[in-house]
Amino acid sequence: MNYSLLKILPIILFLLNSVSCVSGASPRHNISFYHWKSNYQIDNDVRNYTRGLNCQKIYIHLFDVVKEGEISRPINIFQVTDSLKNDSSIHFVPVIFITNEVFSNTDTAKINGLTHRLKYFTDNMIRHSNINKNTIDEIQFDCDWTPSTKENYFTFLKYVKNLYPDVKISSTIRLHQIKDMKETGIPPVDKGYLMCYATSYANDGLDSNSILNIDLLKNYTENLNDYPIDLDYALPLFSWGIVSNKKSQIKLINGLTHNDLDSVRFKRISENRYKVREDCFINGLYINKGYTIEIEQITPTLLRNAIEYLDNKIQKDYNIVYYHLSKGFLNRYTIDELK
Amino acid sequence: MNKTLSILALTISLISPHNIWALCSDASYEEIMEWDIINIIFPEYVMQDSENFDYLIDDNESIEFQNFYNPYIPYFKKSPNYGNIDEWAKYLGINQDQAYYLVNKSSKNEIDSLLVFGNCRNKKLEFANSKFCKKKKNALKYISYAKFLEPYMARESGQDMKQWQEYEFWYYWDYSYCPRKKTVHDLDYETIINNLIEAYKAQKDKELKLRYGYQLVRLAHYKHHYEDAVRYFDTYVEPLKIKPEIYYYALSQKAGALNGLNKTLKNNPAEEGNSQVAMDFLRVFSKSKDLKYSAYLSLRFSENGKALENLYNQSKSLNNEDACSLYFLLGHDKFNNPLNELEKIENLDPNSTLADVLMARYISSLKRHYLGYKLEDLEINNPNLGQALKIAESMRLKSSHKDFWNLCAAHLNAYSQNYPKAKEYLSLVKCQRTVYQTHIKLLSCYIAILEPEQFDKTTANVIIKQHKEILDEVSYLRAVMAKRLEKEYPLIAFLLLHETNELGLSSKKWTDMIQYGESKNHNEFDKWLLQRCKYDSNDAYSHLALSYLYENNIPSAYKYKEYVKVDYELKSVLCYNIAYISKKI
Repeated sequence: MNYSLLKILPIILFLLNSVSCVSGASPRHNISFYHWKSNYQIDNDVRNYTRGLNCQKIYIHLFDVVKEGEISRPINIFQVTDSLKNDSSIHFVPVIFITNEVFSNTDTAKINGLTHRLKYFTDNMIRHSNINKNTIDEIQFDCDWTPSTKENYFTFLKYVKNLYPDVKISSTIRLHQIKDMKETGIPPVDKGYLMCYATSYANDGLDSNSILNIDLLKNYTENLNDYPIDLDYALPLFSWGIVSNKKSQIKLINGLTHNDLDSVRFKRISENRYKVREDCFINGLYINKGYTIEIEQITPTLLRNAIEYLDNKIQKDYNIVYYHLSKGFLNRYTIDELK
Repeated sequence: MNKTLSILALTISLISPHNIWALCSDASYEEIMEWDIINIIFPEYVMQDSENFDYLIDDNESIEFQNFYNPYIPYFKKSPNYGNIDEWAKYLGINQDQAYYLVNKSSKNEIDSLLVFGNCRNKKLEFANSKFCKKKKNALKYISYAKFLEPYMARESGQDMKQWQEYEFWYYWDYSYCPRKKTVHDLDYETIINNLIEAYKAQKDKELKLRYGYQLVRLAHYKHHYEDAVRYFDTYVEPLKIKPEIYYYALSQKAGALNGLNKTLKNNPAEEGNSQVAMDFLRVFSKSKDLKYSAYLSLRFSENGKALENLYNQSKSLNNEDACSLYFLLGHDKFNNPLNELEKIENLDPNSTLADVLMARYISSLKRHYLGYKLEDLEINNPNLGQALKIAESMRLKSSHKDFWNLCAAHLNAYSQNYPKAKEYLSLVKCQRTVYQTHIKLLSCYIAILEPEQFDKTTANVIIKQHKEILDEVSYLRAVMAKRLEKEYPLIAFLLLHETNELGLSSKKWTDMIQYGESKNHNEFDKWLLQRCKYDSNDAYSHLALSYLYENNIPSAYKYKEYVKVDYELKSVLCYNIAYISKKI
């Protein structure tokens, strides 16, 4: 045997081992949550849970902006109280949802006006909530823009950036906006948040989980790595029941699970489907005998599959933001299942 | 030649007052606006009591007042507080219009002028002469004070509502320029409360006392002094033991205050199913004329959204009237099957007007459901139709509203294609009111069109002799007839719903039209139809000529050039061009 090769063999073996360790390691995830309720009610149990995940950031929904006639106005306004200041260890990121209609049939002057009004409103909310304004280093906008509204939405984002020069401006990105990025465009933001859910419609009649279907997720994100801005990833924790009446109409009951459907009032007719046996209320919704309910939920397994897929696809560390923070949802997952 | 035609086509399109291409109408029966269905065939005004019309809003999902007062109902109220206005009218001994103006429209200054001088310059208040003003002085004093308070009576939506959160501020960059609304917080609350209590005590008349009591409860409620509001109701309103409309105004305010109070408690009684708030709102819904819709909204959203559920859980302990109201509200939701609740109401009180309203809504929705169907689909796919039929047939025996339920049973049997039964029930409807008679005509015609197994022009001729007037008025019925004729007589089917000028530019269609129009064998139906669709011989030939031109068939167009009228600018150009081209041929 060549003496030189013998001398360097251990080094080669060591390097090979290191590489194999590195390539076998999963990406690390920083975990944070969206908070989407109008009252900030994070009790100690929830707080301890989030600490267990080393969660340091909460994306807090402040309000929606909707269009009424010619005017845009805020609704679903977060009830500002002092409770936010109690969570000094948490970094809050304000999130504002704007409907797509706000950006249709508008012009730059109106967008400019909207931006100023929004800043005024947001700044007041932050001030009255006693959150230290200096800790706000990011504001997120959530809008399901389309090819026809992208120019206006992107203009809005640029105007916002001018008003908040020292703050990162981020935007949610929906799956179809990744898949059709050429048509829907790339928003001029510092970061995007890919919403890895709502893979289909609740009433599409397909026998798949409309909240999250891995095959559809893969299909939408085929060109994920071509997206030119930094992305974090939002994953769902919620469940719902899809109630169908006999007139082909549906209603959604948020948070509904199999455990909520007792056998007295509901007859299980398939893995996820139930028939209503008698007129009754379920989670505040009145339903009639003969209606059907389909439960869709994110099981720990499904969540794990989604994370594994993203790990393999992205192949570097990334942040996960769970939608959304609610004691009910967190009771379904162990801390390890969300890491 | 082609260049000439192109120029000609361009000329026509530029100078034509209407885009001739748009004349190629393919509107089908399904696309026709069916206000007839919604407003005439089964409108809510068939019911006995006009006050129930308020329930019949189109979209109860919207928190906004969306067409709450259906403008198509002929008896819709003049104002949202007509129950209160009615009572003022009776109390003051004046008519409704006068009461409406006095209470709703006059200014505080005008009322004060009546108090001081016994008259005022406004001619609409001429009825308030010095004798009236002297006799009704206390009432006028109350109205004056109420008008003073009214601009401040705006309830803020949240307990911690800050001014900057009011959405009006949203429209202004600078807060200081925003025109702020007045609220109760701009009043000297303690002084006003004392004034109201003193005025209450000074009154001997119970009705006026009650009105002052209402103002007390409302003011405290809007000021978020919830305990006071409830106390004022218990102290100043309830002990009077009279329950005119204003009592329910006060009760509604008290329920709102109690709801607010409960939310501040550590253990909200609503969460434990204790539903005084829901009971109060349900009572307002049952009894008030003016506040049914607001009570309905309150029931949807109070008690953390659980009011209806809490009531439902204790429905067995409700009296019949309240239980019927509850089931009505549950059945009223568009998502739900009204018939399930109708059955429950039937078991409690077959004479309840609420049952009538639910059935009317069901049948109206059924008809709208129909509009997109082909004729063969009118064999109902609606799984609830059997249930509805069963209820109607039962109620026509149980309820004292015989005419209404016989009419419902007739409709439902007609939709179930049981025409003999439908006709039988229809013959039992005796009410001579116009709306009932209209329904009888409508349904009779509908049955006449659908009952025959075969349908041809001869059948149509028989029908037109009996139902000409209603067929003229109601496009839905013509649409149903058109459906029956379209396979064998497509042109006639088209003409039932269109005028001839909507045939478009098709020489085939116009040839058929002329063949039909110029035939010597017209029966009564044909004559009616040709008149209805405005058939004109010269016009038809003119369109034929244009059609040939459009189809690049100049020789054929030329044959009919004499029919082209010169009073149309388009056609005079056409004439010129045809003449020019013909010279060139």
